[in-house]
Amino acid sequence: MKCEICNQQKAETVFFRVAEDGSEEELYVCHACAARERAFEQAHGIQVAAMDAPQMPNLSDLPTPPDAPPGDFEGFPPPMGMEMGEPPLEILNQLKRALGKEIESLDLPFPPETDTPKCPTCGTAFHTIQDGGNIGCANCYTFFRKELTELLQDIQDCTHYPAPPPAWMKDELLLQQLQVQYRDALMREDFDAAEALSKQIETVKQRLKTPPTEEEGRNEP
Amino acid sequence: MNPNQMDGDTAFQQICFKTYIALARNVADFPFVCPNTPSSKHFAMAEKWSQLLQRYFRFEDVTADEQLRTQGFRFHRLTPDGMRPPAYRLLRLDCVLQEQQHTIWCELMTENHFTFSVTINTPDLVKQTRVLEFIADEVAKHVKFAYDAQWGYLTAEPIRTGSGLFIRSWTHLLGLTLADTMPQALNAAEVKGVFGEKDTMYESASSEFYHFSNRFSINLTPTQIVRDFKAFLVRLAKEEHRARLRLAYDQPAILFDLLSRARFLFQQVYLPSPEETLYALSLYWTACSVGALEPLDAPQYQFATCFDWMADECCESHLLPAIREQDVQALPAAFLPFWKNRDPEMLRALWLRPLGEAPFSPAFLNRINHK
Repeated sequence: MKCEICNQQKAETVFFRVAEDGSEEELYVCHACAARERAFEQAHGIQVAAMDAPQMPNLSDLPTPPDAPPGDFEGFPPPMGMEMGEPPLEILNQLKRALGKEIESLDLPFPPETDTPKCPTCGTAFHTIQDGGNIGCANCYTFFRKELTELLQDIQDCTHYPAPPPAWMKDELLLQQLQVQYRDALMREDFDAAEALSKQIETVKQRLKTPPTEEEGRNEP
Repeated sequence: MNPNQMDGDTAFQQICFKTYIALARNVADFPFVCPNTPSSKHFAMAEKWSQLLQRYFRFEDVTADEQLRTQGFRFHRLTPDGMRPPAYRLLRLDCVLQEQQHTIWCELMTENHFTFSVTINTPDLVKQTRVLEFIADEVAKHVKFAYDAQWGYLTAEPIRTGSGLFIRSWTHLLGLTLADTMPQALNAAEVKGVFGEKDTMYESASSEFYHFSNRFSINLTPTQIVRDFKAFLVRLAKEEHRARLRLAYDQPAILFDLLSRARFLFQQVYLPSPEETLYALSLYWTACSVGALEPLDAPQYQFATCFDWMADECCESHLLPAIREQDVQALPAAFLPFWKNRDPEMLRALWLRPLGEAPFSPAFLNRINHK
């Protein structure tokens, strides 16, 4: 589901706000919109009823079984959000990033940050991109291909660019294609085909190395 | 004029006063502008690409231009002064293509390495997009852009991946706002893959300025995106014109009342706020488009030019040359008493005084009497 305010990011949290007629409305929004709305309302002196996680029911509000001694909740389902034993590492990491230095002093079993996969070229982690940040480099698109495919599907409803490749890119794409075929030929031990492909790859590489001619260079608009 | 018989370009120009088209490109094998990359590399590459553009394409480096620093964002949607990254470069190309004059901007090292952009107030969106594509393809002969067979052009923002295109139009939709049908128009935009939102320039409740931008950039080619985008705005423009006609023909007394208030503001008020002035002007433009007011002769009060300077604190940008050069003689005599303190509201009020004399059209007055 998409954020009901910006309609672009994925909805990540629930935001309650008081409408003009006094009724409380519930919106599914992204973190950025939730933070912005909260800051706006606080700046205008409006009582904010926002939360970033499903509201925990108050334990004292739960009905007490007639035969059970006071304070004993055995047999009742645990309150929402408390049913899991250990919180997933991903949530712990997100918490750590959100709270920053304030919880560094606490001795909590957080896994080290190095566990998060980062792009080898620019060092960008995927959560940085997901949190509304920019993509670090072109290699991120290869490194996070699976995750970015899902992200682009969410944002743009499509993951394929339909235009034909530009003329200057045709050799590059041909090279990539030939390299895949070359690897396949080696895998099936078809050395004749591999040799022919190798020659073709060299030809294309030579073509790519050739700098633009002076005439092309002076091709001014 | 019957909106159904209206030419698409005419309809488009009635509501849309500015369109910004940008094409983002990144160089392969060089990180995008992000904190992880050493900034010295950014400077070096910006210098290299800047020289390339200046050498082969006769771009002119205008990074240090003081006027563009302060006014560039308002008039051309260029990165504002305070938000320019350290290695930022701004280049301008004035060229003639297909017998038309074009001014192309190239911003280096914003979020993306290259951002080619153009800001126009004409309906030639497709033509301008092709010009940008042409320039980008020419640059691609010298610089290898990041391209993927599946995703197209790779950009720093996932929202622009694919074609790298971003298009935004600023529109004036008073008819639909008064008819209270803007929510439906925005829903229609959503369906058509266009993102519409209210312009929050003045955060005024009566604001009838909206901007629309493309939501997707990967599903179609730049030309197709722009063509669909324009088709939606033309449709919207026809609906807007229909709403204006309903206002002028079915409820002329309401329009007359609104226009009389606007006239009073232009004639009498000395300290109008920017939002009420813009609202009054907006009513005037609407009235002119449906023939309730005689067309405004003075070009400085025309629709396409007024909005930009109204975004300023006063009519300073119109009088900018005189103000900058301290040329008091170039200012109209009525401004002189207020010149010393540069009281913006007062200057604006004086500048707009002639609009208070704009006559109602006889046909419109007849219609009111008849009603």
